[in-house]
Amino acid sequence: MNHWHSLTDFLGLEVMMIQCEIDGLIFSFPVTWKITKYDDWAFYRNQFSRMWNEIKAVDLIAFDLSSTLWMIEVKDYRKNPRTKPTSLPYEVAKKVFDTLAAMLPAKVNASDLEEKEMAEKVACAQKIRIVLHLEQPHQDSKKFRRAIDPADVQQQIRKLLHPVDAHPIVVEKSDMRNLAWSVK
Amino acid sequence: MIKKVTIRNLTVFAESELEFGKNLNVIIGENGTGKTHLLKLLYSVLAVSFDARKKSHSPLPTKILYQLQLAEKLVNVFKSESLGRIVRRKQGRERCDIQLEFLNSAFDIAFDFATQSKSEVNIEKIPEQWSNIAPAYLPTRELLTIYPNFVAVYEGHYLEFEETWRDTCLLLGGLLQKGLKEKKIRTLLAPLEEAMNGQIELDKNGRFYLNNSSGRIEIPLVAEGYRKLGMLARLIATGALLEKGYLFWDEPEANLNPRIIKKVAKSILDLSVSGIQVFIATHSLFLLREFDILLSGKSYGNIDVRFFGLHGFSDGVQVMQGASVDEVGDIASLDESLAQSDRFLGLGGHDDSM
Repeated sequence: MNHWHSLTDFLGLEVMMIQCEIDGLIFSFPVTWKITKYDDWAFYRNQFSRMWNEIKAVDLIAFDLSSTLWMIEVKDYRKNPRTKPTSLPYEVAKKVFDTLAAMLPAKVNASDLEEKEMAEKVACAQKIRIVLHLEQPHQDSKKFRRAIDPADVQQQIRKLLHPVDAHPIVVEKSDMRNLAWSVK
Repeated sequence: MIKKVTIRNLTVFAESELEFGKNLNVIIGENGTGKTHLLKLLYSVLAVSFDARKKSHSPLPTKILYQLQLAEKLVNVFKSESLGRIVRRKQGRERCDIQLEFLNSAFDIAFDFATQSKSEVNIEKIPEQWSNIAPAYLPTRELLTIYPNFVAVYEGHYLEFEETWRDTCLLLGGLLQKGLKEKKIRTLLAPLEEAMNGQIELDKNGRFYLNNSSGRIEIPLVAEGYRKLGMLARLIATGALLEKGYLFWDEPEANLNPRIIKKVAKSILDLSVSGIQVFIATHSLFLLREFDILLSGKSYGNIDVRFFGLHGFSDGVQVMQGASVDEVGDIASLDESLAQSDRFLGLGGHDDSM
């Protein structure tokens, strides 16, 4: 028997979205957006990250119609609790910092035309927004409904990245705020 | 309005300069970084000026009067054994220098004292006039329950309580403000009374009560959180905090549950935009976030808020300041909350998704 998961599926509207997978999570963006998985860029893998160790990358760079640059990092503690919560904000901040540092060189030196064009767009961004997508295991404990308080992480990221984005946000599948994309 | 304080060698402070906001000033720091000392210093200077205006026969400030009264006030508010004890301790003798600048420079004052000072400060710059505004100081503890006869006992005996308690009890006992200003008072009082579910009343017998639809409850039977709100409500009702003035509040969050802290945050902002320059010292991440939420809305558009992060180092406390909480360095309560998540995840918390 055929199961339609949602009205969107039924109408076949999923083709109207741009989808991409990060760590097993499916992100669906409006078609009008430009999306790129930055850590797949040839410029990043073959050139920029080879300058020295520890150069990092955010998972996704997205561009909406109002020229806002969205830098999206995904952390799924259900699968991979490697990063300590105290280090998480610093890791995100470093990834954002390293990614931003790569954009001007990519605009000038990337050999892949798509990467070059995306970097050119980034250079013309009107606004930068940082989003951490943080999934956590469900906790039974009443004291810790979630092991990590997203508000703590959000506040620490805000402090670290204040000059980049004074209002970064931390979201999860079940609470995407008013963001234009969805995650399954 | 206090514009700026310059401190050299006071208790834990080596050298600091703090520039205050017109409306709200939030001091954040771990235990022992001097938050309360900062509040007490500012309060003492303001209180001396107001008291002297009432008591002194001199229409203008005089050096002699200030030398003695300021020293006495500092000792009584800090409750140190002598004045010199609040000078920052290093080897050998040291001097503590304090300068306060006001929006109206006629109130500017500068003074100093040394480790061996007992009962006098040295006045470098004397204010040109007395202040006619009583500053209000709310300590971490509520005072409504100890109010009956407290001032009389305090005056008649040596008690180990700080003088701020006596001063605030005096303000709590003030007469209710009537007349033109009543409407403004009602606006400020309404949310507090809603939170306490009643009004604070000072009976002729000298005790406080909470009045509500179910009757009159003596204040010691009322929840501690409500008593703290009651203090603030009373200061508003008596006009002690109206239009112009100063409120110093040490850890407003102490003994309050989150629902009340939310109300307190709003009351603090409302007071600060009504013309009171407010100084609070806090540990509470919850309170800081409430401020953040309220300030990001449209209701407090032009509010002038400053944050101060006090950070202890071996060579004295360093102050980081800015217009947002993001600019004042690490916040211990935030770091600790994340560190607790580290430890909790270390337990291998249950996971029913796998």
